[in-house]
Amino acid sequence: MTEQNLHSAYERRSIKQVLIILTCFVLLVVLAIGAVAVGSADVSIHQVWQSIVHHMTVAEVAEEERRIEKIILLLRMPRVVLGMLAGIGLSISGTVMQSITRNPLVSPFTIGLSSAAAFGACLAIVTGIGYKPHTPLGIVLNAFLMSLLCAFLVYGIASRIGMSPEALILTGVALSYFFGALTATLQFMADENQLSAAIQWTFGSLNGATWAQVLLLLLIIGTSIPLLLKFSWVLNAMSSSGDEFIKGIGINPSRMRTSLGLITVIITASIISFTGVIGFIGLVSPHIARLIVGSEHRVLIPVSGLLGGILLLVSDTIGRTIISPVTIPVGIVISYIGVPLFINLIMARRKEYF
Amino acid sequence: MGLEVKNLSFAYTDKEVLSNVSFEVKPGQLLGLLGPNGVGKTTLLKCINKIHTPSAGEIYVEGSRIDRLSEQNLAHHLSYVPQSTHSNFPVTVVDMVMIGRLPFMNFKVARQDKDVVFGLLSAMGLEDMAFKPINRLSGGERQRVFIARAIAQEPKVILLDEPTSNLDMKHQVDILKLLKRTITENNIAAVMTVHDLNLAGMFCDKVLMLKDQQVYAYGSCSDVITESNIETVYGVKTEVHERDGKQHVLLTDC
Repeated sequence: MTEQNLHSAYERRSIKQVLIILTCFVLLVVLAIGAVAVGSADVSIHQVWQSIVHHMTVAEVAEEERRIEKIILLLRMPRVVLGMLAGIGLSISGTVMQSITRNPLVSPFTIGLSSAAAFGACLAIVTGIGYKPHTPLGIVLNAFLMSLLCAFLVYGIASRIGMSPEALILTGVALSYFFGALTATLQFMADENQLSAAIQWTFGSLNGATWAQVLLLLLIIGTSIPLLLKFSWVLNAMSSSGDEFIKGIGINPSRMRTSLGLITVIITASIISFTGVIGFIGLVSPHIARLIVGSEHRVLIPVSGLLGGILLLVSDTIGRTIISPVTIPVGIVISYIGVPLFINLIMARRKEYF
Repeated sequence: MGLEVKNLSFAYTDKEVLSNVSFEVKPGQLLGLLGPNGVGKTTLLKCINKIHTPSAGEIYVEGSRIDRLSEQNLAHHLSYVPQSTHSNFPVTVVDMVMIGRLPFMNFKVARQDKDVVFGLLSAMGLEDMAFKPINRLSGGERQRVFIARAIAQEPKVILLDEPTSNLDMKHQVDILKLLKRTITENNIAAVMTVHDLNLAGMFCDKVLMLKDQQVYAYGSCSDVITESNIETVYGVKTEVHERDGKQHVLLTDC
């Protein structure tokens, strides 16, 4: 291959990468529209479209149409959009967490965020500690604050031993067990109703999604993802090379780990405090994306996010239709779908990957 | 110009590791750092790389004192080839070399970055594996990629930590030939730590032998790689023969 050939081969690869991103994007949009139409009250895609248009233009509508409109606009759409955003956010956070720690086993679970959030929620449900603890808002706030607390503890301890990937992961794992024990202690003391509510929360579901939640997540994810993307080349370097080399190209790895880590913590904490524990997606969709497009973050970040959105959307749609009208929490369904998919991919592509 | 180290000392909190080390490497020259394990060769590289802060002395890269340069600025003058490490998230060869352009680029890969990287890939015979993940390469190929990445940084000084470790004889010779050619063509001052005295004698323009935190011998290969120096520094009996102006070391101790 000559230098000129390299230029054209590189061009071809870039085009292919853009096409993959676009395909994932189109797939996500199509699935989202489909997901709004599917459910215990079946509506056609045409009706979905109509109610959106009506809502924006026509004031007078028939009673039956108004009922469908309500289901679509107030129940299904916020749920579908929240699911998409959660999938995107958790997957991108997972990708970045794995890359800055250079560890393929890292996810919101391993660094303690999920357990801390669960403890926060449990604290509100069982003991009533926190701001308005018996309201959904109180639970969300408690969960969010606890995962932030956990992140600061991980950071505080890890920075004393040099902010190495190993320090972060080991501290995270240890704290994860600690918060797990705290939750178990509360559950041990709880009455039956409280216990049921606390455990329900840990299943992870999109029930009760609202437009307000969607807006907030949109804001957080919409500002943080461009920021993470901007650091793509730094992430390429950090995930593939040791800290000594990183310093040699003028980057401070500990500072990078702290600031990029903080962004992923805020994304993750805000999502799981709304949805409960949906941890597996943050582990699996980064890996599926890496298997498809490799470890170049300018491509990996968007693809892992879009795949996460797709995976979460599909799982939630299956969860609320398969034994309708009962809804299976998405946190459960995602593992049933994600694990076989994941194992299948590893088996098929192990040569390139390991 | 090039690299100049003056009276450098370095200590970990309780223990002095380097004491009063001085040397100079001119553009296009290759200096070999010799000495037994644990003598402070890698520590010396880390001082030059600004990973460690020396307790005394000065280091000049292209005439500028490095403690007055920011890390980002230093990255424009100096690059580092670490010992090869395994990565869980392998990027492709072309992306790995592109990482060397990081001090010069943001999100977008500019035409100039591509020109530099593709030029290096063909100059180093890496074109055919350009789009392979780095972990599919052999040890020798990977070492070539790491050197290419360091050169992509367009440095004036390059530091290499045992670039020939884990390579067979042919690949050791190939890598050092390539390194010599590259630093001569690009007028780069190079420092490498090396254990194989024969390779050092074959390829280095100058060598520096460390013993007990200090410079024991410094100069041309014929002055430094001698039977008595080797016995004092490494504690091993050898015979040194000169052939075609190069030093060849034979072990006689066993």
